Amino acid sequence: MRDPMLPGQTPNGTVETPYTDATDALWDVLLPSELVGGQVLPGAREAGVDDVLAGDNLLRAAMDLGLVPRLPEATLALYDDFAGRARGFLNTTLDTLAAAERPLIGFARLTSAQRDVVVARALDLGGWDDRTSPPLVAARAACWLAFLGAVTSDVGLQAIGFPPFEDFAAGLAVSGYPRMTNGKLDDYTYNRAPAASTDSLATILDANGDLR
Amino acid sequence: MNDIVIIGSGFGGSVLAARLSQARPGASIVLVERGDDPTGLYDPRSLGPTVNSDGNRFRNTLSPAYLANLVTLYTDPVGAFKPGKPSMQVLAGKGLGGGSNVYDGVSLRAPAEAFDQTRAGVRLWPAQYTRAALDPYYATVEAQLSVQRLAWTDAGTPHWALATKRDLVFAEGCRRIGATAVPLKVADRNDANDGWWNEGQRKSGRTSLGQNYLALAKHGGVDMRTGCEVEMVAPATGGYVVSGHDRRDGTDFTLTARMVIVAGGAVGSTGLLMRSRDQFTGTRVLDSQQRLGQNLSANGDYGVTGIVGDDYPDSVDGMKGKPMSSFCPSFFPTEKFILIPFYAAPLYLSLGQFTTLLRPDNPAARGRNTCEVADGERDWGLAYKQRVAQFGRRMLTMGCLCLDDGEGEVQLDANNRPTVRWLATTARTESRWSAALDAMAKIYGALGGEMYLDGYRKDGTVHTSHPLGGCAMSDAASGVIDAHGEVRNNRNLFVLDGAAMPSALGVNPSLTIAAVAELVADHLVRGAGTESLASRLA
Repeated sequence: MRDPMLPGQTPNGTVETPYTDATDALWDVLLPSELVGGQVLPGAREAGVDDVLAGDNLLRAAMDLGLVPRLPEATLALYDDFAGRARGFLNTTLDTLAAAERPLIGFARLTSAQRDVVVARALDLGGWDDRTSPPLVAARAACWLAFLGAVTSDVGLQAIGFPPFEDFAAGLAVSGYPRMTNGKLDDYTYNRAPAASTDSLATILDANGDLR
Repeated sequence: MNDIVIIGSGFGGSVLAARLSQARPGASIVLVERGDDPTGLYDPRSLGPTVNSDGNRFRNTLSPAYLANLVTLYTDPVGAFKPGKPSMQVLAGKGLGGGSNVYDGVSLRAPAEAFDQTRAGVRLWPAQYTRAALDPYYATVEAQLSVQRLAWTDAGTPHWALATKRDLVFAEGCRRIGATAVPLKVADRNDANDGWWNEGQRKSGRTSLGQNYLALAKHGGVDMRTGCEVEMVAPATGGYVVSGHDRRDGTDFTLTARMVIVAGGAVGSTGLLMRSRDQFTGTRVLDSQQRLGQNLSANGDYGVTGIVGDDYPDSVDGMKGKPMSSFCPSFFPTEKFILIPFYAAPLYLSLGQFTTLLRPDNPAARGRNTCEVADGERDWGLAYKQRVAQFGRRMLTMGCLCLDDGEGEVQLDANNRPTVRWLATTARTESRWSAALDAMAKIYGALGGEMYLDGYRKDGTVHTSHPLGGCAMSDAASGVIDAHGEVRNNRNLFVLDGAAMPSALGVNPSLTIAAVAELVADHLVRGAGTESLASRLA
């Protein structure tokens, strides 16, 4: 009987993975790209999570703003050097966690469903580990910072419906009312009064629209 | 010795800088601000990012490294992010203009009832503060800030001054539960439909303080110094010594002045006085009753996010238009809250601040720390990404502001930095928040949608962008400051900003903070009910 093939294994026995390492595979678990109607909708990788993490440690600033849960100093220090220590630690951690799901092949070569299980186990409180879970929490936060923070790219914002930046380098999103495809201006208002309510506000508001 | 040093440049400090410089031409007035000058107009030595080549005022980015120039988060180092632990988060503006750098321009006068609140049978506000007494000062501030009421339709209204699509959907939800939404009063002129969050509004139409009060102050000769964080205020012969650190050149600074006005925000001002308390001894003792830091109000802030039903495809346009442009006042007479739909950055939502975008395990649960995330709900992965993608089309964010009981507290940490915490929520506040949550859940339901889990029910965290109190004005001799914001036992030392507000207001507070500052400035100039400015500076 033939051995079952590994994920990504070709008939000639070689194992291929589209990922450069386990961390690269992690991005597709935390905030994946999608194929919709023949188009690839970007995920964290395409939004530049590697670039975001390679720059100044935004996690510290994000934590100071309350965007990211309080992380141990060891985790923050790790991410001060993402390209080096943090990535290496994440790769090792992910491969170690992957072994519990399927030994020997590493996180990047697990199936998509198996990678999902591994990450869920690490992030969910039930499987929480003070050493391995905080770096994954930080990685999750970094994905969203890259995707929606307009830090190095606006492709994530476009993926959720924002118009493209007018000039990303200058930090300009859209100017005033953008023109729609029919030539009209979209001012984000219906210019319509709501249906009449039975609720009278005469005793609640004054003529200026303030509470009495 | 300077005549006046003003610490902070928000809705309190900028008003005082403008009015006192107008009243005393030639006086030596220094305004110090710990943040930078985002306008690039007032402090040529400012370190922070300013206007770009097109004259735009802010970048369109939610990069934390950039936002750190504009906002400060005060949090509870013990309870933050820990389920079951009491916690509070206060988001405060930073930079020249203070809170006006990040506010949404909402400019409502506080209801008369706000000024009549009592605690243990004692009126919280000094007797001179009533809605009627403040109305002329409200009008003055509204004129300065170009406050105007928005509209649903453009008959007789500039088209840019219309409520957004999001607001019409909200209004329909209100109508279906028997309530009514009406357009808000906001301080902006012609650019709030820029399609981005408040930090990103990049034209000059949003009439923040840089365009009015700070311009008046500059015209009046006020010396504005940014990047200057004040560490201590201490009494000195004939006045006060203000000391701190100037980031612009990396040096420590010391200023002396006959009069000092502390206006660094509810948490900032309170923290500064707490740090300085030991400097005041003998006849100048400050806060003899140890009241500083108590009764910090969240102004009843409680935000939620949810989704509207399939009948509203692409109807909400949640990320576009004005950040806030309508509100529902229907519940105020009975439940003491208003509801406001608002734009909230998807980044904040996706990262779980102040709402999780996840379903609760018990949608009917109300109260602090009563809910968990429903089984199978995750804030990562493809399904969550697709949920976030609903943000613009069907996701509706709204919140309440109510008359809470000021259950927060400012403390100093081991490094003398201010922190905040929320003590036990009173039954009255809990009742108001629960009623507001009921109303918001019904609105989502009436629109065929559902409400997601919020941080208060999940983690017990109170989030506010409208902190008030900590150093409240009071007629009582035991209060830290009097009805004009003057620190007892310390002539010419004032606190005039959100910290001085004795209670929640139930509406966005910027207009009231500025109106109180206008009233005090007027009284000082005229010597009405307090020693005149001329006498104080003689």
